[in-house]
Amino acid sequence: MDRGIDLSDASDAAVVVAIGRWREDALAEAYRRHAGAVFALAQRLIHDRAMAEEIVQEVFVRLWDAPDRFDPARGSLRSFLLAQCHGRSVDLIRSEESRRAREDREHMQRAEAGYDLEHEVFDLAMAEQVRDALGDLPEGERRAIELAYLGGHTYREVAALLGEPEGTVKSRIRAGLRRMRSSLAAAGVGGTA
Amino acid sequence: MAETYTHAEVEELLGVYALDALDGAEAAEVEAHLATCPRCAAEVLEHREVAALLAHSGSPAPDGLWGRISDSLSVPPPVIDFDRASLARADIDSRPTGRRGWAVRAGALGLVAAAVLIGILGVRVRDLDRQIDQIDATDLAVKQALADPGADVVKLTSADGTVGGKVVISSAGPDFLVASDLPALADDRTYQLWGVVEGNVISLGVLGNQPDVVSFETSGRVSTFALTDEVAGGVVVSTQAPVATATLDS
Repeated sequence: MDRGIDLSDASDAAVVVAIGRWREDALAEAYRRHAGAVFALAQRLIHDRAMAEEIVQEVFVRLWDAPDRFDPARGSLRSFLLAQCHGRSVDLIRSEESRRAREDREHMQRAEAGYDLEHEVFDLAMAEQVRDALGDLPEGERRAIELAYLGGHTYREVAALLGEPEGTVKSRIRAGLRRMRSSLAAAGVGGTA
Repeated sequence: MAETYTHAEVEELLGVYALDALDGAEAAEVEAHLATCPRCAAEVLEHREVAALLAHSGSPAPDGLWGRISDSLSVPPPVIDFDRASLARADIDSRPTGRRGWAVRAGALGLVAAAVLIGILGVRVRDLDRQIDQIDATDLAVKQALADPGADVVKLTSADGTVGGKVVISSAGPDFLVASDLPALADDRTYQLWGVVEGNVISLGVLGNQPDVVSFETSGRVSTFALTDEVAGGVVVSTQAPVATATLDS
């Protein structure tokens, strides 16, 4: 009798269906596919390996406990997991005010100094088309997106870091994301429809 | 929370919201708007897909982390919610069911009276309309059965696709017929569930005229299930064409 689906060739949606049937091998498959990216994002945001691992664990245990929260019609599993990772990481950052203040100073220095080595290494892990799309953005949009998403800052903090009006930062982040989406779609990357 | 931002004001915040770059109060305003505006909700999802690409990494996760995750999983939990059960069923329901070939088996139903093995296989049926607590217990049991990775769910289907019901075959414990979507019969009629075990047609239970969830146990492997519409009290041998059937993959 057919007891399940072949996970190695299964879509992410089918893997999550199998997780819904309490198949641990399905969760392991989701982990194999996406945990590296989830961990990299958490570590990038909180600069703490042990805490990043805790967040990865939390994200995948939550997927195990409530797989129905993922709706394949509303985006990819990777973006779903990364959004949870990002939200949890940011919560953690913002709950530690002293840490926040320290990182603000660090990021201010980076914003002033321009490119930092850590960022460069992170960039190298990106797909070429994504790196190109980010690189093609106007500098103000690129910097605002990086500070918000990869730095975990609120847009008000980003505005302070860059010395720009808050309204400008809001607009630049939205415009930059839309511009990236268009250029990635033109390059056939992302399946962002 | 009452929504105080205009659509245009929220639109300006969608990018920063998608990147978790709003503070709590503003995020709550956006969320209130998203609940009522599919266009803005779709834009947030698009932004998050782009953001996910920014986080791209080919690096594997740290060694040992999967082991800790695996150790911390609840397997299986005592209770699952219906959404989870629905999610699990969606996959299984897409598999082919056994409409084809029932005409042959229906004929067999009338021919194998001597082979009816009610009792021999230890069939036990409980009509769950009788006691509320029993319903609750069975609901829990069927949910657990649906969560069992070894369980199979097969859909009973009529020729025209209008009559349904599902059979949940557990890897351990009783099996279930989930028949809440069957149309009610007249008071003097009853549904009866049959199974074909090694070529023999077995009555698996008289279900009443409006069954919900019924558990049953067999000691043999059922290859085909069928539901018939019978006189109240049920029959030993059916001469009715089944209202719905399901055949298990061999």
